[in-house]
Amino acid sequence: MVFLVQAFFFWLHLGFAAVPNAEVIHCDSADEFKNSIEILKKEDGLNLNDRQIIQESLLISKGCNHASVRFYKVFKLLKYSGVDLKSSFGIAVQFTTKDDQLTKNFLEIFKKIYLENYLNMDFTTALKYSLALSENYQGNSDILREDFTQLVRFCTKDKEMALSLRFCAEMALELIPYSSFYPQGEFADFKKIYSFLRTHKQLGLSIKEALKIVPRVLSQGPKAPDNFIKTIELALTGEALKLSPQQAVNLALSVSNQSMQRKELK
Amino acid sequence: MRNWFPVLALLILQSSVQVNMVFAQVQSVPFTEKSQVEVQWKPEPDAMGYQIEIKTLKGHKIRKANAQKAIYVFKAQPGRYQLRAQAQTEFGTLGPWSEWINVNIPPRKVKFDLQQNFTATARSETLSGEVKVHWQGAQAAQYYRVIFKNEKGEFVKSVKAEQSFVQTELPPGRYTVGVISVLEDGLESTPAQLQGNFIVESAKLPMPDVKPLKNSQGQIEALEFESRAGVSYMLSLERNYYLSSNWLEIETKALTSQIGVSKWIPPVDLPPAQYRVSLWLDSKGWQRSEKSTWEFVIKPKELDLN
Repeated sequence: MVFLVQAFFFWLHLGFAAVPNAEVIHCDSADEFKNSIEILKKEDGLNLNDRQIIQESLLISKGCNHASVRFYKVFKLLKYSGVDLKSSFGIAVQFTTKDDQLTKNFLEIFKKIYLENYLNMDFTTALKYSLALSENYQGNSDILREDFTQLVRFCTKDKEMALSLRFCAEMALELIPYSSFYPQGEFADFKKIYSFLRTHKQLGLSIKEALKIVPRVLSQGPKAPDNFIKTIELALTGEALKLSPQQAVNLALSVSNQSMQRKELK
Repeated sequence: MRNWFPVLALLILQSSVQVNMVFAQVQSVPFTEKSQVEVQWKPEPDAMGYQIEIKTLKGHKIRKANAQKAIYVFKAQPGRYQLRAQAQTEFGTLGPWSEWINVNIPPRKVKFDLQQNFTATARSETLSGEVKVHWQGAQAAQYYRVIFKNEKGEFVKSVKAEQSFVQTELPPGRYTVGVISVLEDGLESTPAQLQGNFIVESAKLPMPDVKPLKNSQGQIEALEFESRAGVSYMLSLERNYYLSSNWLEIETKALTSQIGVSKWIPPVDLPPAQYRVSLWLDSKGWQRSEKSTWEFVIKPKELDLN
């Protein structure tokens, strides 16, 4: 009998040791739990009893270090924006398992999109975009936020594109995943390609046509815009290639598609 | 002495055949404007007959007649009459006249046998129902008095009509209507009642004329509306926290305002959320108007998360 018990513990030990090596994070779970308890106890509007507060705090502290801060900030942001408390709680809990950078992205982007003195979009749109922009983005969050707001502003501005806020937000959302390729942000390159396509004497593309091409170029990294423009100039200037504008654009897209390559190390 | 006997006898006879009127009964005569009047008095044993005299109240004699018995029946147009009688002995001598008795022949009741005796159209502009009542006129009537009573039988309104219809305005409700024919001298018929109640339906009040005043961000800063007499502006303010489907009522109240242009400004202490403000018109007896609804959002000025 004693042998059987020893064998069981030995098997357990083997089993634990057999788990493949994953990144291990060491958590101050007691502090997170305590902070969570304190936060939830202050929130009368949630109508949680003591047992529920313990259960929910356990859920929050499960997000490891800074989980309670992430929870608190998201909860507070949503609550003070006029979101139903239970919904605020539900969304905030989701951020306990995300990292600090993503949470910061969400908080800052939401504020930029929602508040009156920034983009002043409606709540539903603001929440949708800020959740989308904070999801799995690994670049610099300051640049991301700046890119997003600049793209939307340029797109809505009367003297520039004069398009609707919703359309512009959708466009910015499509472009923003490429922001991490551009150390200084992608807005400057967006403007460069867009203006080139719109003002080039032989191309003279419409806004709609230009906006179909710009994301394809930007998606190929920081060298793609220059590669695209150089190829267009080559194709349309002089006697070298003698291509039509449409053919020049197609060629430039092919060349710019080679701007970013993953080379296997030999 | 023998020469004086007839004189004395006559005096005795005269005193004994004084006619005392008993009553006069007036009945309308079908299919005519005239009424039949039956006058009776106490029969005198010595009377062999009676003489009757009828005049109008103004003194025009219209008839002198004889009657065998202590009853006289005659027909006459509506009006005020006076009638007296005297007994006649077998010798042809006449007794003293009785006192005049008044005989009033009222005008005929009007008839409500038209296809559509009344119409009632509610008009929200004036907050009243335009009521038209028609009847078949009475020939002798100088004018008509049309009396409207509410469903409790309480007097509401009397309208004088020169013709056999009336057009007037009444607040919404349930009414009875009676029409009285009136002669030139004020003699009135009994009221002719329109069968049953008639209803002045309450109309739906028009939607309030409200102008939203917006700020540069397109948000509602105030609602401007024009108050009018007899109508209340009702307001309800609701809040919806985002990601919740429940609109919570904050307040519902009547807006007190002077007649003329007034403004409603959202309370300054509203917490950030989505709001819905509805205005509608209300007036006693009327169906309230459809609501005019606007939504607005209160956003935080800043979101300090520290």
